[in-house]
Amino acid sequence: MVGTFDLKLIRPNKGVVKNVVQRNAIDTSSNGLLSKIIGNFSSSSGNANIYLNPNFGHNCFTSEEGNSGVVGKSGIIATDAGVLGTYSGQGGDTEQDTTLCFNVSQTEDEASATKARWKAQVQWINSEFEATISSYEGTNNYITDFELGQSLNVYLDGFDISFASVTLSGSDRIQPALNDIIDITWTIEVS
Amino acid sequence: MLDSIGVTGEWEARIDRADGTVEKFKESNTIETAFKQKIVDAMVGSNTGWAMGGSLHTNDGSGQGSNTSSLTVPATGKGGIVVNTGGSQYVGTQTTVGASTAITNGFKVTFTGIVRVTQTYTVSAIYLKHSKASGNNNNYDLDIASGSSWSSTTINNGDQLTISWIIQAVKGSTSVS
Repeated sequence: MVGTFDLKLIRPNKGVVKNVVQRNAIDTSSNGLLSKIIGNFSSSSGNANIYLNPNFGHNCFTSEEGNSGVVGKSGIIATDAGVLGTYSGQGGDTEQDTTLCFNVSQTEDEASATKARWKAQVQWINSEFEATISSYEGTNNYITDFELGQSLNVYLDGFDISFASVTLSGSDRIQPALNDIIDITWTIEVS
Repeated sequence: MLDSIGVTGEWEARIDRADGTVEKFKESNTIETAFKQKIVDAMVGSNTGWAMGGSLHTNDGSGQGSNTSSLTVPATGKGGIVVNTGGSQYVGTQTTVGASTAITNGFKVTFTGIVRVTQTYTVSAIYLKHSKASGNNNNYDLDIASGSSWSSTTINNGDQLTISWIIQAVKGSTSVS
């Protein structure tokens, strides 16, 4: 029994135009999921603090939204997804945000008692983003890197507590067209 | 296409006999399904845990210092390595837990349970359990592991039984490091 990273690219009026199912790497860092599970044993009290309840308020960091909608939030992200919005750092410098936050998400009651599962979607549509996005079909633009975790860091490039990650390569890389829905089901099994 | 968290365990027992002889036993063991389910629940159901560092049974049965001269049942809320000596309730060992340490592709923690007996006990089974429930029973709020392949063993006055129990979580593997 094992877990899966299952991505579907869904095109309105057409259905699933791409389906990728791949192994995902469980985080083994000192701040990651496995560390938290074992570390809780020796704690004098308290919880394991591995409850991942997706709660992105927006699908990217925007200057209008400020950072409260995504920084410190949890769920699924795709990094280096292209320019989605902008944000201002200290001193007034403007930075471009390239992290896609899957803000339509939920945990799912376990498919079995020993599987944790999260489902998430985001639509690749201009009205959803601050920047003007374009179709990636037929271009050299791809979305390849995905991560599941708690508390998006202030640099927007990963989580403070990472659960798992996956990098798509070759023909598995996705190139959404405008209006496509990127649908992810992420499962971690405890065996 | 697939990945998982492998949660596994291994117990090792050492008996230092009163006459100076030493016996050792070691076995890998499976982790209770209840604990695996608890981990999943902690990820998707609610913020929960299995902290044991502040609630371990401490009596070693030696009669030395604050220890009684017989093995005792853990108090309500206490846990650790407990053993079946044939009574209606499992008795506890003097349990300690080390800090989590990194291993290849994961982390492990080691529990140590010691009894220094002044009378004869036959240990028929060993367990790692969290938080004894109230009442005259063997109910704990979480069963973590049981000692697979433990052979019934008798310990006598002056013997010391030391059980080391590794619990590890690794990425996609089941062998104990």
